[in-house]
Amino acid sequence: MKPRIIGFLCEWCAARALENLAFCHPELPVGFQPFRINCTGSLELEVVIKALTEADGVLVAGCPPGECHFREGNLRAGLRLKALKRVLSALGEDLRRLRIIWLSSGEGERLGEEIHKFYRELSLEDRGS
Amino acid sequence: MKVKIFFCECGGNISENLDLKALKKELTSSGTEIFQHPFLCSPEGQAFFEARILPGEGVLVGACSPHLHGPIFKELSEKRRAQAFHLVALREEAAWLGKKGAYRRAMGLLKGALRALSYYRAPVLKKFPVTEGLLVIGGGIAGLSAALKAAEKGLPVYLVEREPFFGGKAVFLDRLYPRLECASCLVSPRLSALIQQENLHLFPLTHVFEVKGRPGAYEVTLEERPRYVDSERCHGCGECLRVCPVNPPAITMDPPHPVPRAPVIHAARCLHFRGESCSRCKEVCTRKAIRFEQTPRLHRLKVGGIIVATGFRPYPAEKIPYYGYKRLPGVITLWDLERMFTRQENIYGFNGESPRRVAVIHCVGSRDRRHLPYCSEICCSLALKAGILLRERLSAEVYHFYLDLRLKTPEGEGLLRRAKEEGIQFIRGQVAEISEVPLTPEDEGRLTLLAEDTLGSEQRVWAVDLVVLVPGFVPETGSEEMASLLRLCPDRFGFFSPREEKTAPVETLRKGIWIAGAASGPKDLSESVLSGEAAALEALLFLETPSFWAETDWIEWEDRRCGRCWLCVEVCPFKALHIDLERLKVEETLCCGCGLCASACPSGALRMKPFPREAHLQSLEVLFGET
Repeated sequence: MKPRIIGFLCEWCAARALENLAFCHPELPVGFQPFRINCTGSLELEVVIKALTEADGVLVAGCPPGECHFREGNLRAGLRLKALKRVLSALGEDLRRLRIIWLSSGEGERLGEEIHKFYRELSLEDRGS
Repeated sequence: MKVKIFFCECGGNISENLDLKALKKELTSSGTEIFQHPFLCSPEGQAFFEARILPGEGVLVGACSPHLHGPIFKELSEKRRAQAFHLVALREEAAWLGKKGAYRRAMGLLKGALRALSYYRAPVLKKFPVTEGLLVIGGGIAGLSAALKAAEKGLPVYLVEREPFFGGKAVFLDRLYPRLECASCLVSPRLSALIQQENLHLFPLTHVFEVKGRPGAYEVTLEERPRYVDSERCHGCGECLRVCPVNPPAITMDPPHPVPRAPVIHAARCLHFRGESCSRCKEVCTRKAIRFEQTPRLHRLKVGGIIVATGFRPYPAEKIPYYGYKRLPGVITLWDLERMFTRQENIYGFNGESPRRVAVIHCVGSRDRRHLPYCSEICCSLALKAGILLRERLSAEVYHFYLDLRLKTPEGEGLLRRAKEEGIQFIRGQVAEISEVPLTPEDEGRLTLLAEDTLGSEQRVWAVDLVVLVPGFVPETGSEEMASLLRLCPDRFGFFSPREEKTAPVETLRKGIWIAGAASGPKDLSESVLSGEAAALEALLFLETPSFWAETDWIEWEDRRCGRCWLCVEVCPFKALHIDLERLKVEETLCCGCGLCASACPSGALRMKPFPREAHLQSLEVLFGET
């Protein structure tokens, strides 16, 4: 079975948030596949597009504004992904499939909620993942 | 390249949630060799790991988070001259995220990583020199403990404090829990030691303006606000304090043990700065130490490491309107009370007289979803102590309103017994409202306090004269700025997160930056001293080595592909790239390997190490292509 959602997680916040969440042993949707990246700013759009063409949804999670490990990687990512969304919308793509969130390493619970919410919004649960 | 996979069972944490046998079976069929160990991070496991790596091979470790033991495995495989290294967090990203998806997630991680490994390009290890100096931000008890220890060992230390005096909040505590010993008797020797250390440089009224550079060689700019008093000349006689005509005085020397021993002029209150011709303090000063002409000064320092000890502040109780703080007279916080005690001020209740009945309210804002969802742990003991002092000094009736009493140290229970023997009442329940409307005509001039008593299962009303609110702890103002200056990761409450809470509590994710004291979460005095000294030890270990090894050479530039748009140069947040005769040059001491340049390059002329774009694309390919 293929993954349904690819979660690009920034090594310094979102991936750590997932680690913190993991200590509570949550039950995450089966189709959610974490994918560690060095910084959301280093995530190339080519990679995001590749994931979008294959998966049902793509989650990009980076540090909150002002807290980037590399000063401004999250801001760059924010700008780039916003631009990508405009292109996707012009192409008639479903914009709900690309979700961008900013969260700090302590916000594991929120990450879990966001993943479940994303799943629900794309109504993936009922398709039996 | 031949790749060997190492699975760690993590003592069952991984192996019980994940079918390692099946994973092995599926992966061995693709021709890789797989090893498994119950604890790969143990000394035995490490030996097992090291012995099985041959030069030139690729290594893939499936264990816990790379932030935990990643560096250990990486160093071992480098030692064995492995060609490529990758680690996936099988524990956090597969085993612990629900049994149903565990196998699939693990397979995805492993197969993706295996594919990515074939694109691995090792960064180059290089030696970087370390500058000797240490910057300590925050002159509270944690910061000064750290600064003293490091200076004692001979390091040049720069201690920065935003306030005019050192000592932080500890100097404004009157007595200490649990033995009720005098706080300034314990803190002041440390403060005196500050002045005596020769290689310790003090910067009061100073904030950190800019931080540049890299671990081992930071360039820091400090901005020192004017004190308007020359602390070299002043000998702290205090004559000037007596002549200031403004109320509250514009020239003050507040703490019971001021360091530096020179007053400070508050320009906002001072008549001289408000255009009047007052200079009484200047006239009375025999040492000619008053300097109205002082201006802000910039200091530029070179240091090797930074200790952040910015501390906490009490949660602003005015955010809880029904307690009436800053609205009703006679409603104060514990910190106001401590200040009054240290200054030996008289304590007045709602009606301006000495209070007959005092309510001490615990957990103000704490354990409340709308305010602070956490417990600050040490406020109970502070509150208990304050209650006893109020009882003994004012012979007032004291009521504690608490949710749960959390008293630290073995002596805590003894203190609680003492409080109960002295007739202090403990009511378990939350206070719903404090109002100035008297309960009965006889209670005119008293505050009315409405609270639940959960042990008596009833709602009760009291007439009280003084209310002491005991707020929880939040990070000090300005710690957000500090986080962005130093690029530290705060947790969701704003406290700085250590690299690992339990085993590396004073280290941060940044090499060369450590945290001490309540900046990383509520701490009492002894814990603050402990963490300060622990941070000093880490700093010494790092700063006393002349150099350290670090990975560099993160990007490869391809001349033929480059369109010379130089977007990369523009994008680099560390100004590590520059153009030299139409060629891209990387300043390796500045480059952090973030990869912003590579992702900005429109022609793909930049390749990141260790994993370039193709590695990510190929990992995705595997995730979707197979099975």
